[in-house]
Amino acid sequence: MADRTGTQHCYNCIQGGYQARAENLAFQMLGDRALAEDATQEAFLSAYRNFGSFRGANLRAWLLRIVANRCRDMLRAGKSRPTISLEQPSEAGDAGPTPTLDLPSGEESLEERALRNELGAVIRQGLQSLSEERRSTVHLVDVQGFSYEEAAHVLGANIGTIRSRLARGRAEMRDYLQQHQELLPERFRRT
Amino acid sequence: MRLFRRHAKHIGLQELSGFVDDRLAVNRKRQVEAHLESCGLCREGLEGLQYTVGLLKQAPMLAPRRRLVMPDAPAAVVARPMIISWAYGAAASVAVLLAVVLGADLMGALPGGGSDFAIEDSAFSDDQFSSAVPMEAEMADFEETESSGEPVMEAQVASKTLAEEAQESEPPKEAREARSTTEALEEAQEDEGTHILWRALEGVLAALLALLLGVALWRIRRSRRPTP
Repeated sequence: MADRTGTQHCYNCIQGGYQARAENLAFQMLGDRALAEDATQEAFLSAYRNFGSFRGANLRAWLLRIVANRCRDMLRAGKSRPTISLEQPSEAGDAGPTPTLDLPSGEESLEERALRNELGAVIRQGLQSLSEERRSTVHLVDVQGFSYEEAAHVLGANIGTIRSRLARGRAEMRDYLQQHQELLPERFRRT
Repeated sequence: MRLFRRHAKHIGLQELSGFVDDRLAVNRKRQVEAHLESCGLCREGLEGLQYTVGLLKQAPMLAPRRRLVMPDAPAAVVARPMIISWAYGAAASVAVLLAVVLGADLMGALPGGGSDFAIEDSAFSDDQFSSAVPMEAEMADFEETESSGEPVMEAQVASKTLAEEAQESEPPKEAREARSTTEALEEAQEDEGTHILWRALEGVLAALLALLLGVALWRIRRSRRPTP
């Protein structure tokens, strides 16, 4: 499929490359894994149909903006069930395998991986205590490594709003982590 | 009271967050750094934010439980905005060079005579030059047979004396003809050598052009090959 500039792209390669990012953002916005998967799938279909409108500048920001829009539509329609605990077992209709976690590199040991997974669980719980807007912003900038400008594009907000949401979200996360130090693996605790 | 004034204006949360991301203007950054040196409260706030951001950056993302792949996605094509590549540039250069050489060859502007037409022309003019002397002699014979009378006889005597003088000063006609023939032969051999060289150059350029066009076509076919 071709974008607006005529450059050809491989659809399945794009989907494979950005699915994890898209699903994580959708999960942060919707708070439900199954809904996040649905939103991601619908967003990718929408991206496929409208790929001709992509200007070829920043693919990940463009794709994740579609995902964010789809999630907002679902939130408006009242489909989401926000802030479910990740510690609770899955419901009957969500009997998929246990969520696996991404590895940053193949050199990570099993122990390191387990520690990072523990950290990830605490971080996700902490993020769930934030408002949807702050959670999405903190997730995009600090977890996914987006710039302020990219986050602003994805979430449809201006830079000032992103800066404000990010500062407040970080401060809330700082308070949460200070209160839940015992949940963190020892090496991640603040000395 | 003095201490309170000193720390009355703490760094705001947004600025501390921006400081963590190095998003402050240079002047403001210096002011914040100066303030942090003297304000333990702001320093503590900054350290808390840095710690939080550090943990967030280390947090792993959830991996998808199932991969979304569209089985009937249209034939994917690798994004390779080439078309103008080195092969095209080289082929174009060689084509221009070949056109220049061929054009000069056809116009006979190449050193050594160049084209076959030019050689034929020069050969023709040499023949003309070599046959010029017998024609003059024929004309003289014709005038001799046609004309009569004393003035003519006097003129004949005068021309004879002139011819004898000319014969004394110039080499004999046979020797002159032989020398001009050998010179012409040497010249023709030299021209033929240069001519062969130009022909070889044209052939090499044509072969190079064909090769480069082949490479360019191969690159186009490869770039349009669908990905698995």
